Amino acid sequence: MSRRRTRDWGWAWTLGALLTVPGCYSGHQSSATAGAEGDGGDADDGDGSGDDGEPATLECDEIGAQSLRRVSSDQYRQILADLLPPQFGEAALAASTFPATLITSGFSTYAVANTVSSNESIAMEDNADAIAAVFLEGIDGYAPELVPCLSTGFSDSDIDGCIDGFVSEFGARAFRRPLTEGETQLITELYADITATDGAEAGLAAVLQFFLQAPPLLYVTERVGDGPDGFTLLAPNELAVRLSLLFSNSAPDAELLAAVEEGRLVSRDDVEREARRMLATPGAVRAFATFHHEWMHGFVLGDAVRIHDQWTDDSSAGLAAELRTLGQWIFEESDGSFHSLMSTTEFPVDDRLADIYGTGGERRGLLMTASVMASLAHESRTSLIERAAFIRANVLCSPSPPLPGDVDVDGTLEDNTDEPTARGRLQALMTTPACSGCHTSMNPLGFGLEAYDWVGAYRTTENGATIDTTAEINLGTLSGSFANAAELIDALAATDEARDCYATQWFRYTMGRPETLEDACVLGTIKESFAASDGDIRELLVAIAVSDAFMFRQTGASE
Amino acid sequence: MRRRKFLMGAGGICVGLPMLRTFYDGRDARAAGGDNEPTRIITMAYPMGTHLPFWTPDAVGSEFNLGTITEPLAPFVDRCALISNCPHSVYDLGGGSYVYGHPAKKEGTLTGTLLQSAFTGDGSNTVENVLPDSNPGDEVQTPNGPSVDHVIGEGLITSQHQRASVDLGVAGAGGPAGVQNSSFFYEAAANPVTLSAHPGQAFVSLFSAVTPDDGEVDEVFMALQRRRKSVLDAVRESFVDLRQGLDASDRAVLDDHADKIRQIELDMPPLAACSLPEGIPEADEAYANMPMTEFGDLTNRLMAHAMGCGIAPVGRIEYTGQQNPYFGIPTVDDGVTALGGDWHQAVHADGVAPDADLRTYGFQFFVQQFADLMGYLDAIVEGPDGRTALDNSLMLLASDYGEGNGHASRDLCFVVAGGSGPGRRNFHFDGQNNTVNDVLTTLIQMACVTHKDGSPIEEFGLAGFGAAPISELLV
Repeated sequence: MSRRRTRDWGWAWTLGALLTVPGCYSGHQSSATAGAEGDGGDADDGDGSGDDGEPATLECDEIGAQSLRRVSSDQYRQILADLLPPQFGEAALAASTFPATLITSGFSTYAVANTVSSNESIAMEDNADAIAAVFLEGIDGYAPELVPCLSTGFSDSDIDGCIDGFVSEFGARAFRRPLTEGETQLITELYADITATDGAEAGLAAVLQFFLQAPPLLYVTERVGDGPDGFTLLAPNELAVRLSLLFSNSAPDAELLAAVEEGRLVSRDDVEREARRMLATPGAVRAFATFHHEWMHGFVLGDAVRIHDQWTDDSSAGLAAELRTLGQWIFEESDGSFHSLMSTTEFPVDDRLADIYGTGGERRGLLMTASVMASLAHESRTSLIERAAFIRANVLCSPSPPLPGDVDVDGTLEDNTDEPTARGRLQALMTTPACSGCHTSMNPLGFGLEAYDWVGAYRTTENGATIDTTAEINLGTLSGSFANAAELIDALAATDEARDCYATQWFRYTMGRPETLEDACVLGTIKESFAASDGDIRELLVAIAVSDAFMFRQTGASE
Repeated sequence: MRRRKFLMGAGGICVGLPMLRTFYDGRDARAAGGDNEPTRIITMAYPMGTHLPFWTPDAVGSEFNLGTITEPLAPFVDRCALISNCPHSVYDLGGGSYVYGHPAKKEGTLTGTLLQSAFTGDGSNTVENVLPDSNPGDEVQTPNGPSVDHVIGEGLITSQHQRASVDLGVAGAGGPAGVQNSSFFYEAAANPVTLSAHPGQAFVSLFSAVTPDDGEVDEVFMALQRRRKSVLDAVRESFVDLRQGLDASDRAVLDDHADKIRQIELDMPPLAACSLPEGIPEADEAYANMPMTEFGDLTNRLMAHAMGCGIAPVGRIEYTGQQNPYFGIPTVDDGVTALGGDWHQAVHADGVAPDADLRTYGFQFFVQQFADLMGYLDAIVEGPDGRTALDNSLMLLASDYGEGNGHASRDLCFVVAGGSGPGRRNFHFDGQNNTVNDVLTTLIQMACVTHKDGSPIEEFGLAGFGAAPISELLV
């Protein structure tokens, strides 16, 4: 990976002139971490950054392309919860029919998870319609709450007098930036048209209905810009949106908006300051909860069915909720380290899962929770291969290679269907020449986890036979003999690969896309920071927030 | 349930359907405009294929006997064409893993192309861009083009339709599955259709606009419609402002969404006094442990009534339970249980005889559902001459495999049904010398959908692959 200096520059509407300032960014790690990158430069200003509030400059030669994203359904609901006043907001969210983001790969933040089909566009319109209907039904109470200018017993002329201020203020919060002249005109004309035929209350409801499905609320738009060498520093309001979506799953809060307004969101120092501030707010728990829920495929359990004595309405609900709860625990109760996440034995147990966890077993961290075991299973049996492949792909970021083109899957494997345990039944995959190349390294990752059945309950036998949890692993630095899954997970948690993969997963979640070759430099920096902080997850998120990929984007072709 | 009524001509509200942008290679599709043309396309898709010796009729041509699995088609065979043994040769371009195994199969069945990851260059859906031996991998991906039903639908939609399509899923595991992404049906590359796999919710969504009784103007409702239309106008205009200063690919995403907003902007005409399906439970509990025999019947009735009410020109039903669906047929369910496994395993297991009842009647189930749907449509009269909804439909039954026991896709089979258009009926065609892309192209011609200039659409699916209509299937 290479690094170079670039010229500093400013964007016209904020600074008004190009700046040409030599020097480099001397580092953005916390004071506890090792020091500067680059080849000298400005005097350190005491916080290790040395950028004196000047606009950030690129450290890497290139970054991956970023495509337009729509907010996920979770983010939409959170934005509404923060945008609308409490009473009306509660009623609106209860009536909301916004289409759920369906995760097919990666995270809910991925652009591909949030495309808009015909049915979804109808559902979005229905959603706005339904909330507007709720507003109208309770308008006497809701309108003064939503429009502070109005008081109880308001009249149509009162609404007329307040509408411009509402459009401007509410609109800026909904769109995460001030409205343009064109947008303001469009909305006031909408109000006038509806008011002329159906009255001011209907006009106000129409304005609300517009905002709830307007593309500036739904989409995270970032201008092409005109930065040098094909890269643009994001505008302050665009940085604010990225920060708020990462750290609160919602729109920018008042302090972030103030920072934008006052020109205090231009440098890496500024971004770091806001990132650390937001990490200390209650909203930051949402990122932890959502990320870990999705990373561990907790969404599978929403519609899952398991045929098992311990699969009840209560336990299934508990399993579906467990990963979010544990993500929250990691943020609020633990030391917030990767090691704790992977190896702790202190996760709290949901009451609804007491029977499942009561079956015993030696568990470690997130991977061995009942919810993860249940999500990586079939309806009435475990899935050794799926669990092993999951560890390779999602925990080590080393997915198994695709099926070779010359493998005949119709070919007959040695018939092991009479074997009582999954390990035995799948033994042929480790001895058949066409299969063994991949399966000898993959299957053993799942051997120890066979002690946890398809709802995550501990077991020692399968079909009357003792489950052999021993494994010989030979995967880079994860090598050796392991007596059970707990030993394996402890060793896994200590590998650089697992730590680096965790950083990569957070990168994917934050950016809403998989990494590309062009992200190699950025990811390298992020991983180094994470390692240097001894696996501190908060420091990882700060490192991502101040990275080139987060603060810049490629300059594409505009009209 | 909110009632919605849409009245023609009151207050100047009703406007014609705006021109729809096509997603199919930039060509606009339209119906050819003649009599006796299908007014709708209904596709039913299911996983795991069939057992060909029991599916395939005993002769090709017009004189044949149905197999055990296709026996349920008997009452309607005069309005059916069976196509057997058809290779999906486009997979050969993708390498070994495209020919064998499950990945990419559902996605390719009705789109006639490979997954997006199989393409290089500018990524467009052409033969020149295909990467040799790309291998689909195990992660869920999307195909590089729309499914044939979407293209046909673009040519059939009119201002009389309430929506572009009715999309229903049948969950296999007993219990409603809410909303799911389709694996077979796509509006465009990377844009799967979303299915409603909850009949109760689908009923509310589809039929809230039906007014089977009086036609009095409801002023409150009219006000609602004015507000909706004005808001949608403003939303669509706001896309114009937003796209300024974005790069080309981002603008394309917004343009696509804006097009869909345009599609919603309809002033719905009053729906005819069409009948509503009865006995569709609303509560989730009603669907707990519901077998597919019952779930599928509810879905069929919803679809038939939705089509009869003219809600959309495209109907899609997908059976989404591949691993272990609960059929509700003791021979099948008990047989699978006795194996100690699941339906998927039962289809592939070498220890189960190919002609075992549990497989035969499992495979037959899907053909039965298709036949039942035909029956419901045939019960809806759509014209003074006695033509029925079945007569006015083009229907397709498809699966991702031919012989389900194997993992290859060299022998797919289809049922094309319905009573209109130039498609041949009461006919069995052996497709071994054609490709699935030929079948899909033929289907477009059966639907009488052409380019905007009236010229026929000669190739569907992967461009440059060489698909062509099958003349033996057309009259």
